[in-house]
Amino acid sequence: MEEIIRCEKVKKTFTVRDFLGINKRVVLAIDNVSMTINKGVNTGIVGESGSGKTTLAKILLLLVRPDDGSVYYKGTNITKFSETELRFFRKNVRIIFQNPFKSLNPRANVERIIKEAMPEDERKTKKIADVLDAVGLPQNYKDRYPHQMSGGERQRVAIARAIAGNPECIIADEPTGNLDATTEVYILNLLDRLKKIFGLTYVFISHNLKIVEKMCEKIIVIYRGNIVEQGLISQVLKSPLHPYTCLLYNPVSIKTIETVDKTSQGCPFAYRCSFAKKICFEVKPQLKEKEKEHLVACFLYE
Amino acid sequence: MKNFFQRLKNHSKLAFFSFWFLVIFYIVSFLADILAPYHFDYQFRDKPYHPPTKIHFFDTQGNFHIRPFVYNTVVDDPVFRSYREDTSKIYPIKFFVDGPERKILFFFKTKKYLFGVDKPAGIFLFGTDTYGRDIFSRLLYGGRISLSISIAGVIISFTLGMITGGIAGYFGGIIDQILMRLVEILMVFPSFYLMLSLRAMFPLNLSSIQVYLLIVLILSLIGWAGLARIIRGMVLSIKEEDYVLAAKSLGLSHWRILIFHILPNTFSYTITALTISVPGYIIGEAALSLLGLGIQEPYPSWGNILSSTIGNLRVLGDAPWLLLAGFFIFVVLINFNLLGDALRNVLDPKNW
Ligand SMILES: Nc1ncnc2c1ncn2[C@@H]1O[C@H](COP(=O)(O)OP(=O)(O)OP(=O)(O)O)[C@@H](O)[C@H]1O
Ligand SMILES: [Mg+2]
Repeated sequence: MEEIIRCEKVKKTFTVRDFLGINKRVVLAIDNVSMTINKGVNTGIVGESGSGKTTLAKILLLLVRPDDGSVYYKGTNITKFSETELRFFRKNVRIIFQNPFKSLNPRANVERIIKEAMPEDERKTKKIADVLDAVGLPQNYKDRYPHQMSGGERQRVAIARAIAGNPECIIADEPTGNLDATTEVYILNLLDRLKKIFGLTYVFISHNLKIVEKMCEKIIVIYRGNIVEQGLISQVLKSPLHPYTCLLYNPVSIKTIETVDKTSQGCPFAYRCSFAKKICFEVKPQLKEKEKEHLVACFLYE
Repeated sequence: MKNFFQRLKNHSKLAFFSFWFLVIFYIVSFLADILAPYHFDYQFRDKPYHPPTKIHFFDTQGNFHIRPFVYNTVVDDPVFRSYREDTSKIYPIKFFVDGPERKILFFFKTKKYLFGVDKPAGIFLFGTDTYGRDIFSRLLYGGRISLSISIAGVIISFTLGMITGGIAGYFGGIIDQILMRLVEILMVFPSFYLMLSLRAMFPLNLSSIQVYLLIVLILSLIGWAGLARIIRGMVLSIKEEDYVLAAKSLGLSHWRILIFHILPNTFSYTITALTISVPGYIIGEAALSLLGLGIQEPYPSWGNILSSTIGNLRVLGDAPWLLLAGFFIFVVLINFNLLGDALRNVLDPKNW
């Protein structure tokens, strides 16, 4: 299977200072994450809010450089590449941001937004009209500015921008997170159609397992910056292993909503886990293969 | 562009008026040497502190003249310099009259003046100054200098401010440190003293064109620092926005991101700051002139016309027309302020 992006042991911490800059708090957003995106295998990343999904997406795109670890594009380590050296990568891997109200430059109209997204040598030949058609926007939207469009329309512009460069992979960061239910269905169908037309591979980020099931073949569950479970959709769907995955499937079963902000050396989920044993608080479980391609980081399965 | 005028008009009639008012002011002052009835240093030795000339349509017999005319004036009281009209002869106002040769529009030599009256009478729309020079002509010529200094100064200092602020904020790190320390050095000096010391670095007797360029340079050197500081702050926050990350994710170059995605989003501030600061440059030039360091006599600028008046108390009572330069500065200032406020809204796509 052809590999597109792979990251190895990437780590990212953010330092948050208070108003006076005296108290520092270090947030570990991504902790030792390794994952691979293969061509044609749509990968879903799920996790609750704040688990580091967006940060992971930005690292995969090198929009945020990891503190530690490496990112590979087709086998080449590109972690330290300059923006100029990354140009070929940027053309092939694109992102759709979570919030369409923030991801479009308020001072650029649709025509400019799309034109800019095309590689320079294609700007003359490729037509904006075709791109607008592909995302189902009327031609006269060319002259609109972001604030003149609804959230769904903006997200379609963001999608148009992503596909304008003919990428092979698109990282969609909760593309419907800010939209209502009907628009959500529309956008998901659109993304599905585009996938077939352009032969795209998606990395689909969501907190909604149902959507990921529909869109993806592979799923990665992350909790507080750690991958806790990963596998094919069919496997994870049939038999979710990690207690956190089970909880995501069935949110009503949440017993304690303790959000302990301790950075334990143990399992990050231990404080909320109803099956936690003593060892869970002391040692961090490693991702281990349970069945073929189905990995889990939990002591329950050791 | 057509949209722009329509929007400006819809947004505020007053600002629309201000805009055209300023455009006309600039055009008129650019054409100063064509419009002025006298050259700026032409003196009527016998007519200092002459009040604005009365323009007549009816002569003493009560006959109506289709062509307006003026009377020659003679000194009535040499101490208080009051003038009396000599009604024995009328001097009709004529177009394209001959006078001393001078250059117009920087190139063309001509003896023709757009309008005027025959000697020894004079037509002084706004009166004359201490040396008997026509204030109206001097204000026109002076406007050319003052208004162009302000525009050139504003353009230079805003370009400098946007570039340095943009680069410092966007690239950060050591570049940011160096640029901001430089800015702070400029900012710790009170601008007026900085202006004086910068001027002091150059010899006093420079040619008028050198002084002109020097003033533009000094004024823009003072203006850009504070602006760079503010732009940097704005760039720091804008560069974290998703749409900037999105631009980065498209593989656009740093310059393209900075120029097309970041800096335009500072316009809501810069446009207003820009228009509002134009009058500051006119006043800055006036301040230098007041100290005799600006544009030198006999060349007029609004600043030095005004400064030659201030300190001369009798003027306030006897020859108030000499204060017209101050009035013009004031009018330009108000119009720029009105326009600045409106432009911010008009140039923001959110309001389209
Ligand atoms: N620029 C930043 N500075 C400081 N902390 C940050 C920054 N970006 C993210 N974080 C922190 O990193 C953690 C992960 O954030 P991230 O945005 O990746 O979450 P997420 O999974 O995308 O959440 P959501 O589903 O709400 O979008 C959070 O705790 C967040 O507070
Ligand atoms: Mg997110």
